Order: sequence, then structure tokens, then C-alpha cells
Amino acid sequence: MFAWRGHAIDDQSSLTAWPGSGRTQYTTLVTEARIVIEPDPVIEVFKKDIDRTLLRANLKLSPEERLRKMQSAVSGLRLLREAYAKSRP
Amino acid sequence: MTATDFPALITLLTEGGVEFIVIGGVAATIHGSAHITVDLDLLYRRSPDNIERLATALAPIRPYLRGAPEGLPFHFDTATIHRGLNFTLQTTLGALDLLGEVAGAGTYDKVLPEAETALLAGRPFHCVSLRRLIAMKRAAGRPKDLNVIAELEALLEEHERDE
Repeated sequence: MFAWRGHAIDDQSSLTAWPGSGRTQYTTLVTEARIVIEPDPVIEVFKKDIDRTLLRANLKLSPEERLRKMQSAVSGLRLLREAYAKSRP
Repeated sequence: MTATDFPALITLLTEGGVEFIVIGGVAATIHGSAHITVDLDLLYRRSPDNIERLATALAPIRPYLRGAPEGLPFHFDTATIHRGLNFTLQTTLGALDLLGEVAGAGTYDKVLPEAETALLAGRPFHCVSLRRLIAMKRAAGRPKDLNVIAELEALLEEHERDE
């Protein structure tokens, strides 16, 4: 089994924004008990294969643009699936 | 089965005044994930008023238990929502999972203070924070989530690098 580690809570208060979007309209004031994510050796192995260029491209978009981009991909995949199904004898 | 229309579902609920927080794969997308998801997962508030608003808002898109045989006497009304907690639904706008409570997070009221606010067509809605989303995925403990968790943690590193 995987050795899942829990997460700890500290009581920092912080001002958080939508990182990466660089757009103040997405800024929100949050007083949170910040969740500390402890490194997990299993996750670290998986992390090595993550294509960060895709993530950085997404982070240049606003949250709404990210959502609409994914929606477009879902709709496109559905069209491809339907076309494939119709093409089969 | 129809492809889920995520913006339309979120807009329907915000226009209906429903109190909810986007979680799961769509929340990951909003935070920058490159993964694709097929359903919308929402943590909804279990107050009587909100349950009423939820039932009213969803009625036009005919929610039905996803994967269940047709013809069951299932009506997604206030009584059904009060009796249940978590619902996996198929609607005319696609797949919608409504959760009253979730592992690694708890209830709407517990998650709301740390949730973030995004805009969709000018309307605000709540999205779970990236850190909370990672905690949820870790708490679920599903092997299929390992790659997603790794991506979310990479996103967290990218965010912190930019700060």
C-alpha cells in the first residue's frame, strides 16, 4: 500500500489570490488555517513525469479561460468518439 | 450520454442562488491542471434553504441517479436531498456529483473559509483551495489519483515559485 501522509494545519492568516493569472479580479481575502502539504516519497516519484510546460501555459490563463479550454477539449473528444463509432462497420 | 457542460451547470446553480464549492477535477482545472474530467463535483451546503434552492435550480435539467435503471421512482426533490447526503446524478447538462461531506475536507461550512472565488461570465462562485484539494485527494487514498496529486503538487510549487 501507499504510505499516505496526512496534512498538518498551522494557524497563519494570509492574503491569497489566484496565482499565475496576474489578474486582480480573482483576488480574494481569505483568513485560513493554512494546510501544510508534507512531501510524500511516492508522490515525488510521480511528480518527475509531470509536464510542467502544460501547467505553465494554463497558469497564464484566467480560471474561466482554463475552464472553457477544458470544456472545449471534452467536447472535442466526444465528437472524435462519435465519429469513430460511426465509422466502424 | 451527453458531454458535461461545466460552465452551464455552474451558471445554472449560481443563478439559482445555490451555495456550493467546486471540488474534484473541475477545481483542479480551475487551478491549472491539464487533466480532463467528465463530471462536475460540488460540495453543497446542507441548510434547509439551500437544499430548497438546489432542488429548484436542478429541476429543469431532470437529475436522475447515474447508472441506475430507467423508471425508478426517483425524484430529486427537497425530501430526497434531506434523506441522502451524496448524490451521483446524470442531468441533461451532463454528470453532476453533489456531496454533502467529503473525506479530507468535511462540510461546506468547514471548507468555505479557505475557498477561493472565481468568476464565470461575471458571476462569482467558490472553488476549493489548491491545498485543500490536495488534502482531499490524499485522504481519498485512491491509486488512480496518484498522478493527479503529483500534478496538483507541481502546480503548488509553480504558484509558490511565482509568489
